[in-house]
Amino acid sequence: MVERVEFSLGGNDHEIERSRLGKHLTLNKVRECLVKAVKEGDGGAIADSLFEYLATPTPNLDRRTYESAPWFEIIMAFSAVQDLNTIPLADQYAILQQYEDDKKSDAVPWDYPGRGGVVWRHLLASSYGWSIEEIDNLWPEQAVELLMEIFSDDADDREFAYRLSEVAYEFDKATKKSRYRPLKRPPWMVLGSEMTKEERKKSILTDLRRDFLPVGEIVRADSDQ
Amino acid sequence: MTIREAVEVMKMLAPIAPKIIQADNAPAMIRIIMDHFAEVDPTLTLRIMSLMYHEHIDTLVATLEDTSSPEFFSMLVEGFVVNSLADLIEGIYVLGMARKVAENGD
Repeated sequence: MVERVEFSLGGNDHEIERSRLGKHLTLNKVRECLVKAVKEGDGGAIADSLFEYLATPTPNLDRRTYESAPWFEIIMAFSAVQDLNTIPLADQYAILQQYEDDKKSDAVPWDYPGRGGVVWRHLLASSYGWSIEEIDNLWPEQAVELLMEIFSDDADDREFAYRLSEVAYEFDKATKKSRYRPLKRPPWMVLGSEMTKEERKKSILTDLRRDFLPVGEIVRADSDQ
Repeated sequence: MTIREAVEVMKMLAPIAPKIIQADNAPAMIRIIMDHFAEVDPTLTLRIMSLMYHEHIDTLVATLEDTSSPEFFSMLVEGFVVNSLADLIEGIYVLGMARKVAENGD
């Protein structure tokens, strides 16, 4: 696993380490802005987002150096920082995969840039009683593992309460018996169990959730395209 | 070019990035760019040169007034040598301005 990268910007050498959760979430937030700017074709916002992205792990990077640095150095630095901060072995975490069913579930009416990070912190703080500083000091992959357990516990609790409720059972007129109607779990939780391999393959849109994907082209070695 | 100028150039090249990387050689790449600009908006050629040569478009027009087509072509090529076309295309993909070749290619 790569833990640090070096890059040069405008004659200054920078060496940065892989970000812990706090900075990782900030990088994700900036990347959301970058994706939006690219989508809208807003060149100024693209350049500003690139600066914000590079300045997050490089606090001593000043605006003047950035603006005068050769553009290809900036692109290379962005690419290096992005690669460094990709969650290791992300394809092993079911929750980081995006499925057909939840492709529309990302946006809510009260959404705002960076809300994803707030949700992560909120869930971890609620479950473990940690401070924001403690949470921000986790490695991103640790946070993902803990969040999966939080969601899993929550699903079990919901299922238990649901089983006690009469809405969980429907009357089958043919057999004149009540039949249990299972509570639907998020697609990532049924990965490899209730879903067949074919169903799983069909339902997967991408290997990773969109907000965890690096911006730009992803070429997979095993891709047949 | 500054990053702001480069981003504008990448935006102009993004729609044809998949075609450019499939071209066999540099002149073919430039031809794809010029054909696209001629089809979409002929002023884009001047604009991209203005960005690459860091000159105001009026100044550039005055400079190019007595320039022949081959000279103009070589100026454009030189612009893409100084500001590597390969790096610009890579930047387009890194920033997510274009998608995979297999999805957008012919």
